[in-house]
Amino acid sequence: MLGNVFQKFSGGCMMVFRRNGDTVQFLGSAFLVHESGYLLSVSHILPEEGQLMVVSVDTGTEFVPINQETVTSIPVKVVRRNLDRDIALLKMDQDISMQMPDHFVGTAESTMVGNTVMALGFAFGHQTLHTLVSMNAVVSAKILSNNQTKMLLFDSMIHDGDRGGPLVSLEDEVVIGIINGRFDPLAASKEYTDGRSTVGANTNISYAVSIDYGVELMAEEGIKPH
Amino acid sequence: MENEESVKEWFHLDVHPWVFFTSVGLIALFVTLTLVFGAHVDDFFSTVQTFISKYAGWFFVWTVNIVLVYVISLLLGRFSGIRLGGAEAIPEFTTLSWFSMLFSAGMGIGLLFYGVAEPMFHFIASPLAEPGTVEAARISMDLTFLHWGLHPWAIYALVGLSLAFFSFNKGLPLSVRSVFYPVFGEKIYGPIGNVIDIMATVATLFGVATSLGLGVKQVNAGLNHLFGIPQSTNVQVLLICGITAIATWSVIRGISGGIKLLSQINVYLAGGLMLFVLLLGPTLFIMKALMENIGFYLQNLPQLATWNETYEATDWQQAWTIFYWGWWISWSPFVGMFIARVSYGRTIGEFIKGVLFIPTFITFIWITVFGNSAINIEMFGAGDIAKAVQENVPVSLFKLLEHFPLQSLTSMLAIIVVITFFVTSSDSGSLVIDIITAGGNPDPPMIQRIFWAVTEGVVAAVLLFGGGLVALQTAAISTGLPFSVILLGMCYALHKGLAEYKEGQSFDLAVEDVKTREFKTKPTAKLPTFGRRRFW
Repeated sequence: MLGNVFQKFSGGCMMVFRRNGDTVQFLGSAFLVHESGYLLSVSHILPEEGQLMVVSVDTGTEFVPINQETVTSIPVKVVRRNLDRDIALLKMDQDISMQMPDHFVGTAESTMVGNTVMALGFAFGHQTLHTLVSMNAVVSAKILSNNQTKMLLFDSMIHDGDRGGPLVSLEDEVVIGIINGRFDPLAASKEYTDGRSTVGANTNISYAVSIDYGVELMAEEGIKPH
Repeated sequence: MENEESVKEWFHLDVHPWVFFTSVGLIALFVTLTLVFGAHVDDFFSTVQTFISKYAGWFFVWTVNIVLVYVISLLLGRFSGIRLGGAEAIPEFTTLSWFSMLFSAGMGIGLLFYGVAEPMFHFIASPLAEPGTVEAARISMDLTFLHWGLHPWAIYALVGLSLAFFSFNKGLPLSVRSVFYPVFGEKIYGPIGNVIDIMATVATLFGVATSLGLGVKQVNAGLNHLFGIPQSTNVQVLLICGITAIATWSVIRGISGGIKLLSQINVYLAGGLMLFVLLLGPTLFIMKALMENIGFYLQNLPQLATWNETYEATDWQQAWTIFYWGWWISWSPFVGMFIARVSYGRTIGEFIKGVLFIPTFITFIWITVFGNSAINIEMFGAGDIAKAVQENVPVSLFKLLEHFPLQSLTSMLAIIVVITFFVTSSDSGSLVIDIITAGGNPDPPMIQRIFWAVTEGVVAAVLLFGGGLVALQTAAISTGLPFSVILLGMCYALHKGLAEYKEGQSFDLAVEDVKTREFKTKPTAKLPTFGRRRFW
């Protein structure tokens, strides 16, 4: 069940790097959304300057080495950002022919709290661990953040490198969110709390921004999801 | 600005040159040949049809049963949650108008005549029961249910579902050729695809035009029976003109403005007529019969649906069951295409419930109300319907209405229902041909819509004058044989397409051919971030 979903989406998940002389520096995750080489990711992991590139990995059923010393990369540019929603649209500089599943981009609107989701991302890429990691979660809540951004909370603890990866609904097998960060109730609360919480601020809840903003960003670029 | 656009819309053409012009040429050729050779063409096609029923009847029986089983398996299986048009697609029409359109395009007109006539025919002659007995009454309803029930709707559901799936979910053109994408791949855009589309176009046009031509004869017979209007070619051509005019208007207004509206009016009128008969006729008998007929049908379905006259060695089945199977199959590209066009946004499960079970159930109610009323009169009443039916099928409905109060009112209503049913099958037929000959454009340009709607009327009128309606109708039905091979191929192609859609899909990048640089990777203690999040 989940294996099929992983097989379907894993090929579309890519690592984002920035070139740094002869070496490359890992920035986070991104995922393909259009055959012309467009990817969605989060904005805050992507610098304004420097040569960005994406790298795909083999994700079959085989056991693969945990890290790759050298990577084959495809140069990309940020073509659009929405800073309020913290998302970005990337485009490959080269024409690469590719095939994609049909209708794999969904909407967060109809998602129900409690539905099962899969979070995909290169969790530990910055430690040169180039493995796509899948996590299983349920949608914990649908919330509007303080700046009215539609978000999905889900009960998995994401890691730094997961940011920019897709949150996939298992029921419809479509992307419903762009993974952004770990939920921090202290940061989210408008009122300052004095920190005397008995449970502490550590949660295993993460959040993803609704994919609908990504679709809007694509529409601004004149493209529709595949 | 608005003016410019509307001008563009009127004169803009969007045709698939091969399909459009070859179809027009073939239609003209067939009509001319029929006019020139008259009776020979008739003889030729009836020989072909007899040959097909005799030697390929068993094949039809196989095909329709395989299709029914396959369609039901789709409802129960793992594909039933797939939504036509993608997970987020929203249906274009409300459920009620969807049913109205399905029903009006699917059978409507035939039911009006055969709802009364067919049970009568089987009641007085069938190889399965002694004529005129209680058993014959039961069997006659059962056979009618068989011919108008699950099987035809399963055929329509298969074709409609295939077209809708490949068009809405796989992005292929809304055309019969698209269904074969899993088999032929990109070749569907070549000659193979053109042949399939041309065949569908020509069969649909002749199917619709000849039933229009024959239908106006029936309407004329009804008018004659009721008002003494003479039965003449002139009256019939006038009727064709009237029906074609309304159909053209409806096609111009598009699906939402025209076809949907007419279908709904249609269903309300037909519902009214049925209610009349139910209340004024033998209400209790009908109410009891409906449940019993359905029960008997379900109980005998496996036996009757697979019956091949093997041991009886009669040829009753060729004239009835096999004829119906060929007929439904030859109509399936048309009805299937129309069903596909209006079913965007439904899930496969909804689609099958909506196209297979609901219309079948409504059909059963209809046949029970009209057929059992007739049987009631035949068994317990005056008993003159069977004779009238044998003499003249078109007046059978009016003969039945004579037995109930308010006869002139109900007969008038019946005539109107007949005409609106003709209009709805005529306009949906034109729309389907438009779409196919426009290379799969679901909203073909205005001028083409008018062209096909008018062509249909012209072909019907020309054949009415020159003779040959029956010949070309037989020709259209004989396409049932090649199409039944296509239907079986469709089961395979659809299954393959659905399986790939459901789980075989993944991303595949051709990076090997692309020159990309290799870099060394380097660990970083902490991930850099650029700019603050503005959420909190």
